[in-house]
Amino acid sequence: MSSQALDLHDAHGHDAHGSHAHQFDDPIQQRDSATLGMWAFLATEVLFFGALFVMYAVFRYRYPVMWDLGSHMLDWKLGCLNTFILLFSSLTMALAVQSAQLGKTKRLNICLILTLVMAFGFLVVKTFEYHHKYEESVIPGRYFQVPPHAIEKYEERYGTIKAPTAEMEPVPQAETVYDPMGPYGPGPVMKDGHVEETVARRRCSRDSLTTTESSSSSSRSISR
Amino acid sequence: MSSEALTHPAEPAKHASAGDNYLTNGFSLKSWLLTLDHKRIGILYLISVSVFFVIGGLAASLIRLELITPAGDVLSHETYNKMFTVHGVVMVFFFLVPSIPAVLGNFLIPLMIGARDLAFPRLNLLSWYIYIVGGLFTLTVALTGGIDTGWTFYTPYSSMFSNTYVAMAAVGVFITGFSSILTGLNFIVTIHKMRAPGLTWFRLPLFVWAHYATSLIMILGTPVLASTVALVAVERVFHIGVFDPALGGDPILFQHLFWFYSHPAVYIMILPAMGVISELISTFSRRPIFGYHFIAFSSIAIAAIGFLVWGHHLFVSGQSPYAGLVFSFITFLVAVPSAIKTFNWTATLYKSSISWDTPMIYAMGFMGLFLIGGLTGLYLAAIAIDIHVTDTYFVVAHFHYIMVGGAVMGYLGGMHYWWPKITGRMYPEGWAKISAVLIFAGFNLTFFPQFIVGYWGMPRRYHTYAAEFQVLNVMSTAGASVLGFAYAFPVFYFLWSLKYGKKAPSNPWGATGLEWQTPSPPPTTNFDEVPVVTEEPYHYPMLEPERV
Ligand code: HEM
Ligand SMILES: [Cu+2]
Repeated sequence: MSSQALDLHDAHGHDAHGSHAHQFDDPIQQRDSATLGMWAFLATEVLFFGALFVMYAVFRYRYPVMWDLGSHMLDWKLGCLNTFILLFSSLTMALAVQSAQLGKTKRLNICLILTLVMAFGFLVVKTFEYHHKYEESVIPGRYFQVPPHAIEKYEERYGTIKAPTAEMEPVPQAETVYDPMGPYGPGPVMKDGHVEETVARRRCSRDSLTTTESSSSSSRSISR
Repeated sequence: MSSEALTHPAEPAKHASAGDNYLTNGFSLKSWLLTLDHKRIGILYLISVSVFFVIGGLAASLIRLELITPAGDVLSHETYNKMFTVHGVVMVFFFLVPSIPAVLGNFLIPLMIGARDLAFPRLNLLSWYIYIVGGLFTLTVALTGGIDTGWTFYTPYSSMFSNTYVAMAAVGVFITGFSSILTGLNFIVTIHKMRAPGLTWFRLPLFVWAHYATSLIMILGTPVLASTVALVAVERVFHIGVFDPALGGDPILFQHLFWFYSHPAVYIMILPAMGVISELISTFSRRPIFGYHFIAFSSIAIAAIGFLVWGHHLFVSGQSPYAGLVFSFITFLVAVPSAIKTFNWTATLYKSSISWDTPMIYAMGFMGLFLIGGLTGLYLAAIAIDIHVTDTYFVVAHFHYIMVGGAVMGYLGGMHYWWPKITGRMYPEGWAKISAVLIFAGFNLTFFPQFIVGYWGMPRRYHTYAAEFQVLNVMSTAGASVLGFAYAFPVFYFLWSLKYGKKAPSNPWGATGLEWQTPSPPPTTNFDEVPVVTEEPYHYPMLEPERV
């Protein structure tokens, strides 16, 4: 509601309306506008994070094994604690709003202080979590490293790690006719009419780490 | 639109202290830079988008200069790449997106709905400052070495390979996005909550409907662009694999996210122009607009369907062919509401008494050029044809017909139409007519040859080309020169008119609409009394004997 609060002080020297900004007819119109504005703002936020959610979904779909392993590297106790802190601070904030509406200043202050305390508490817990990750160099970007215990976990669940094998590599380039759909399409149309599943596609749809069990079929026919 | 004002459309509204208007309310620089008046903020935007238009135009002239000959002789290929990128980024994000909404929309929406201001004047001013900060970032990039990715920032080139200031340009675009989000949010709330008594939704001018639809796209699309370019910057700076396949990322994901904003963004650019044209057509044919409801709802339909067609930019990218089929089909669908508008405008003109004032010349020009742009859009929507002409000058011609032939013509038409209201002065009609006709001619000479040369296979974004394309390219450059001069005229005569132009009455065109019922230029509070609307919109007499 910051915009409402801001515009409240838009006095402009008009004495007729002390309680609302000059562009509004009355406080009710001003309040309605602020509410609608807030909803519109929330809509933009949903879309802003929407792109990130799409990214999340794409990578989760593409690297299920990584996701599985990643989930074993989290500390569920600290996670629970932070979830609780977040939910509880929402409660205290909501109570603060209610207290403000009822004019209960003391309760309002207590609630706000509690909310702030929890905000800092959240950060403190995060510091512990992230500090640990940082020491293991589990950080996004250039310095990322897979910690040894994650590799153990992997082998425990999926078998021994094997480097990508040579049989994955050959791309039957010479025989392709034309591949307008690129590496993620059904694949190039071969001269005999069947559709080749490309290496790029296979690799992207699995994790790049392959396991002993994983077999790779080199081509798949799609009937046209 | 009170009935009394309608019978005497030209009668100037009585104003207690004539001469006391928003322009005379303070002359200091501070009174402009800290103003909360939507009209003054509109002027701030007018000045700044004009500056960006000149910058984008200079880049375009260098591009056309290079393309006179097949060899790359004027610019190195690095410089050429930087030029078309600056041109695209500046024209799209810093000129076309804010042009009509932030200048004319800002100025007119409160006047058209009988409000004293937008709902959130401070956010409005903030949006201008955000725009300026984003613009300064981008200009810094342009001046300190440029960026060469094209306005589309395709990954992984932009995120991992380009040796130019991509991250900084991304920050510029990111920042500016929030200025259009704030503008859109402000318009939506204003249109919902601040209409004058009696001004029901279906009495709103179509300009307002168009801006409502535009605002929806602004607040729902722009955030996605912001997070997308932020991800590009993150990948580039921190090497976090999002889009680069070498880091496990997905380059097609970038294209999906980018076009999820940027296709709707093309409607951010054209919808406001369509709103302007609806006003012009009905005023200068002295007719109530034909099919008001259809035009109003087609704006909303464009905003809605426009969000579902982004995949037509990915036909050759590696997107699933089944997705391609669906996107192709929906792309054909999105052309329907645009066609509905065009048919309704044509029907409005049918047997009406048309007067050829400058704004009407622009409106007619818009209709012809938008028609060509829209129809070639349908060619591109057909996958088989698109695979042939994708990334050629055919696509370049398509979108210039819409964005320059459509949106810029609409903007200029609107500027002429509302200039008397904004400044209180008439522009010189003769000069304006000459430049309008020159712009139309120059535009066609510039871009029509590009359809042909593109169909023949000339790819876009190269500074050299095959010798057989030269004749058409020379024509195009010649057209661009005409266009450049013709665009310069209005700058001069508009400035001239500020001092020497005839004083404008409050309603020089005899138009309906609340904005014409307050003096020109309007007082700071817009109306002395809150207007009450009792009539349907565009309540023109079918035959009016004489213009006043
Ligand atoms: C009548 C409805 C329209 C249809 C069916 C349509 C269709 C298309 C298609 C299929 C493409 C992709 C071509 C390719 O890259 O191979 C395209 C490109 C483009 N269109 Fe449209 N379009 C329409 C309206 C518009 C409008 C209203 C605008 C702008 C105001 C616009 C601006 C653009 C731009 C900027 C591009 C190319 C972007 C780039 O690659 O740099 N289009 N259009
Ligand atoms: Cu598009």
